[in-house]
Amino acid sequence: MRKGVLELCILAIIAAQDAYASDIITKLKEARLIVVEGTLYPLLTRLKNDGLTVYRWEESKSGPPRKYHQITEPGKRALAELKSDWQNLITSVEKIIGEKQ
Amino acid sequence: MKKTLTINLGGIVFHIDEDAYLSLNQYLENLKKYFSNQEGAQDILNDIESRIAEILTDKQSETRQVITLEDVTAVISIMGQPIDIDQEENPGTHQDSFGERGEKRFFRNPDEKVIAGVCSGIAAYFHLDPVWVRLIFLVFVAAGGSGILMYIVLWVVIPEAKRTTDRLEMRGKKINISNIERSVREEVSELGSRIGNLTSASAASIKRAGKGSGSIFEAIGKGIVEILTFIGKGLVILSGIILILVGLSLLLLLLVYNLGWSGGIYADNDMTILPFPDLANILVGCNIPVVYLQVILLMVLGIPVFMLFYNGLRMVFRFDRIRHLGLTMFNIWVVGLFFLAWSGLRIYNLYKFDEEKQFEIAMESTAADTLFVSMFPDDPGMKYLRGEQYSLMGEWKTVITEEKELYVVPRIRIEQAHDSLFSISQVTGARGKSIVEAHQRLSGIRFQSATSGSALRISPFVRLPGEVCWRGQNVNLIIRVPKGKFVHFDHDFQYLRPFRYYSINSPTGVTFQMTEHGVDINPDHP
Repeated sequence: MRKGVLELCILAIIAAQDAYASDIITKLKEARLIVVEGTLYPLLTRLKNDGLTVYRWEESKSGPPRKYHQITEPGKRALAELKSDWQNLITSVEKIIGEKQ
Repeated sequence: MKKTLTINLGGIVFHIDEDAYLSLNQYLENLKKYFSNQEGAQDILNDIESRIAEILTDKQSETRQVITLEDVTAVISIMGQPIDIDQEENPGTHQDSFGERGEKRFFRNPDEKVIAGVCSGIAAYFHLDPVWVRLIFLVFVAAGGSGILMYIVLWVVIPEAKRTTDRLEMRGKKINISNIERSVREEVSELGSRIGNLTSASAASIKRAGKGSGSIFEAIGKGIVEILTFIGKGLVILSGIILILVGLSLLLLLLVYNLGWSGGIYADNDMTILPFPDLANILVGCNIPVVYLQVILLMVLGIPVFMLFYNGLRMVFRFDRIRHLGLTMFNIWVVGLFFLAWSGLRIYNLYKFDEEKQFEIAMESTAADTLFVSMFPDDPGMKYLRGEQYSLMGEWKTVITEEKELYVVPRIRIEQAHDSLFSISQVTGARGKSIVEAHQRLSGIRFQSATSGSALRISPFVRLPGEVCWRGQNVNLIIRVPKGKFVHFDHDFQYLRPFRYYSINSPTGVTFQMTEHGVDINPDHP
């Protein structure tokens, strides 16, 4: 069920503010959407390969240079689509759960 | 005191304990293997390395400068093992995607082993309780001991699950018909969607025709390759299964025959083919140890058959090639060939010299109409007449008596007489390493024949008293029948098969008539 949802969340985080892996992980972990961090990297790479995000390198004071991810125009469109899909899904599911009760 | 190594992780230098390094390295290798099928695998790995570097940097302080195994273990649990990543990334599809990658493999299970973990490995693979697999093996062990051999073969062939990923791969998808069907269907639909992607890709490339040329053909070529790969995969597995079945049955047949596990193989003409140890004992025993020939036979025939079986296993279960196995087997096989040639020469020498004795059996009524052939009723061979006879060298049949002496069935040939009179010749022969030996054997042959009137009586068997090994001792009776006349063999001959071209099944005996065109069996007369 969560397939696609993680992509949506990552896009949303990146859309709100350019982010690097650690930021995204912190947010996803807070929301209990991921347990292991390794999950994030293939998803980030996939988003980049699909042209939904791009990244730039930024120097860091406390460690290696960081990869900051940034959303692209197609990324924004995809995000909007995914969001409305998600809303539709929630509405549909709510409808059924509501009926049962 | 511990040894430390210096590593460069995501552009940062770390000092790391040796054990921690091994663990980290193994983890990164596993990730590399896991991501190897994905697009951008190197990017993903670089990102992960950077993140690990970041976490490790946080863990360090002025007083703690060395990365320990604990740190690495903590990092691994934060980042997750490949299987955890897979589960989070593709929830619910984990098992399928593992199957697709062909990472379901046969391993020996070191965690639950009794001997070498073969049974529990098989059990893990098929999702069974190891107890059942062990029971099946025990049944095979009880029934002739083939289980032991099977176990050893599998022990050699199947690698042990050493790494964590091995252990994960050891437990593949549950094998049942519906799963097999489903995975085939998935593969087909995946192929379908790939072709779909392909058409859209080629449509896109037509739009971009100005930019690049030949990309349509490239795409079509890719599609053809995919289809061929799919068909090829199926063919490989199918031929693997065939190889396993053929190899296993040949191996079993070879073992049964070579080790004499069965009492003999029943042939169609009421004759039993002797198991190899008995046959070899008669033909070359007394001079060459039979065990020696058994080993050679296993080497020369067993190795190719085993390799068939092994390659079949590899095609189906895709485990790693066992290093040097092929070369080792080939070398052993060549050595076997060498010994085979050498023992062939030795066997030839055992039969090199040939002694023969020929005489006419006198007959009173040579002008009679019919010659009646029967056996001496009180001959010592009579009691073996109805017993089992074994085929030996084609037409030669033998009986092994209770005293372990050899009896050979004499051969009878019916020829056309040149005149109008019956005549009978007896040719007795034997072979040996030397003329003297062959001659000694010849004089040891016991075979009686006598005539009275128009009747011929013979011993049912050529007896070789005191001999357990056969060296070409034989008796040929040549009966010359004038044209138009008859020769009758009585009912006892139905148990013996002395004729090259005829077998008698009649309980009343059989009559041959000599005609212009040769021998006519069961003519109307008598």
